[in-house]
Amino acid sequence: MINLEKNIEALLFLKGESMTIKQLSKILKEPENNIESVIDSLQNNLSSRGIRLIKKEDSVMLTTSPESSEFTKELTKEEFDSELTKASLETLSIIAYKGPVSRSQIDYIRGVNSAFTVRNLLIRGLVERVINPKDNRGYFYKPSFQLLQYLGIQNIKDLPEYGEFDKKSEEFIKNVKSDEENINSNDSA
Amino acid sequence: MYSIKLNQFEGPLDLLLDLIEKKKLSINDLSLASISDQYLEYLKQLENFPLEEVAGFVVIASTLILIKSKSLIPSLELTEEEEQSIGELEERLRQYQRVKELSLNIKKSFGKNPQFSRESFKGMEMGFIEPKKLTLNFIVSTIKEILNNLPKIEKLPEIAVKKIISLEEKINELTDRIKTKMELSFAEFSKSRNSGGKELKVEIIVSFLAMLELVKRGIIIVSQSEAFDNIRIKNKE
Repeated sequence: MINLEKNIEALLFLKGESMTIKQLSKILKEPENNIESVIDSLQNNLSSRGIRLIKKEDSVMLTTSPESSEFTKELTKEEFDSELTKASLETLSIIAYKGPVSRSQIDYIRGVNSAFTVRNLLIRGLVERVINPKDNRGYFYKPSFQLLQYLGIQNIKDLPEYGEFDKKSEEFIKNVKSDEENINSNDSA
Repeated sequence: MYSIKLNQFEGPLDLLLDLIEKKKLSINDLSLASISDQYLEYLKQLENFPLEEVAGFVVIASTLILIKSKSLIPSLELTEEEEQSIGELEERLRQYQRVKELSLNIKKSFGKNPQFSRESFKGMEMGFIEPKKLTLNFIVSTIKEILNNLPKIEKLPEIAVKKIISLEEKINELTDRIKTKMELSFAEFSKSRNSGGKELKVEIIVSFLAMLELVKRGIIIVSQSEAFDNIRIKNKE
């Protein structure tokens, strides 16, 4: 297991971008559930290092630690535009805390059409769009790796008060009809 | 979006929540009844808005009027559907309020301490990037500076190594001389052959030590009549 952990670390370092558990399992010739548990251990072992493992659903990636950002920003010369409009911030929060969500669910919570804002977030790479498995005319929106990187967290669940949307509201949102969501809407970014 | 440009509210829920929070009320039918007039007042300003945007405001306005009516006429019987729309409005407001609270967490950390992946460097082109301050003078002065800073070869002072008379030699010499001569003075003995008869301090010291050694071995006897007088060396046999 120690070797498996080393090998995963090496592969992720080499790759530089995200890899899925499936890809790792194929290369390392280990069952996916083994990979998954070793990844948890690697994430834990890296938690005090300059390199972090960030995880999003079934994908993992190595990044620099948020604590080093003063210097990593300097090297990459990347400006982080931390200004979000009120609309972007609300929409992003719904997707971060609630994702995957459909646009009609976002609209319903905000009480206003969010097509423009969602498209903006997609372009900035802060959210991802996937096809609704139950209705392939509609989409779901969920956090992207880049959002985790921006927020300096390793899991979306590391967000403060994550999961505070209680079950009741979960049911409430589920009841919202998703038939408004279709490919012909102006949400075709 | 028009609603962003023309007023500070994102939509009817945003407006409603703002009215309630300004009055420090919690979300329930009583508080909704109490702010319904203000809401309707605000709605009057929206006359020039595109229909699509206003529709959302109007739907909620109708629910607010319903709530207000109920609060004024407690005996008013509401249909199941009406009760439901009131409950739903309250729930939506709570949801929206919660999202606003949670959004502060995002706002606080967004872009503050980002984590980079190596992807950031991916596709960075290798090529000639013109150095901005590079001029011929700069190169020349840099080379000079480098040359000036080269470590200097340090020359250690050289000294000719003189022949030193060894004690052994001097002992042998004195032994030889005392064999051929029955008696000789220390002054005679210590006069170096190597330095052309000149008295050398080193020679005197070594000679004296050689003499003491031979005394110890019992080969010679020395005598001195008074301090600093010449020392007489005799063969003991």
